[in-house]
Amino acid sequence: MSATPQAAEPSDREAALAGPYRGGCLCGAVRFAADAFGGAAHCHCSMCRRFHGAAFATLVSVPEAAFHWLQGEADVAAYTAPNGTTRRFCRHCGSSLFFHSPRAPAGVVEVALAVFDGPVPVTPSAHIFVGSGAGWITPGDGLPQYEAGRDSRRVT
Amino acid sequence: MQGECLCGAVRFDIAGTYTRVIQCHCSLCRKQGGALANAALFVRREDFRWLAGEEKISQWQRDSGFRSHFCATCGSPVPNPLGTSAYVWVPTGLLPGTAPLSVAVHICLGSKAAWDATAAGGKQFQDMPSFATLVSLLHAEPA
Repeated sequence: MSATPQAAEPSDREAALAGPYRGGCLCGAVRFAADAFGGAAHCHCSMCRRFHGAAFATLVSVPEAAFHWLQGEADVAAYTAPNGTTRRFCRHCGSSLFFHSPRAPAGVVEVALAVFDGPVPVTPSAHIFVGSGAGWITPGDGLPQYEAGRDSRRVT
Repeated sequence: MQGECLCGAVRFDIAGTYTRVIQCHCSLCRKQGGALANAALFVRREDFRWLAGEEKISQWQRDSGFRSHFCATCGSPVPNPLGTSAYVWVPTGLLPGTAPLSVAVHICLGSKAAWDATAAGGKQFQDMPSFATLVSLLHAEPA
């Protein structure tokens, strides 16, 4: 654990790209950029908790047209669970990066918001799947909480 | 108390009673787990036991010593030793949601993400306190 900022070496391709919001994995092998964002939510489901090792995941929808690989697409490994959801991570450092559900609208990339390098113009607006969330976390942010997806019963 | 990675290949057991969770909000921990903070128990080495899948674990280590151990199949962060200390770092996301835990300590809040507004309760530090301080806070009897 350290508070030292991660300093990834920007590639030539990255330097040439206009997109202002860059992100990537811990070791720097995987780099991407986004120049537009959709909604973001904190997901408490048991699969996200295990994939991120955390209390919950925070995912932001990026339109595919606004998502740009900078390097390392081949360094990304994927795991598809029995329910058909796929989560992708850096095969070198293990950073948990992307989510995809076959039931989600086409044309978006779900990105772990935490792997962007710096500030992004995104504010998560809900907690989802709190019905299967960990009992040891109580969000203190006052956002709406849903039992499952955003169209499910609102819990608080 | 048993835990497992997303695909179930890596499994482990914790003996004894551990209830106090630490969350680190620093930039490295955010990148590692892809979450606004990690969440972990500090478990004494003698209380930690692998049940399966230790050979599935990949490792990456930064020059500073910061480690990332993860399941090579599914990418879940998995337990790893806390330096040369007597403790193993155990990510609590791998434990059942019903585990009787509570968040006792938040660290590195001074470098948290701008959109991280969720920290509530527990002892809160803007930076990283000494390891001895953390161990003391995480292993104190609940008030």
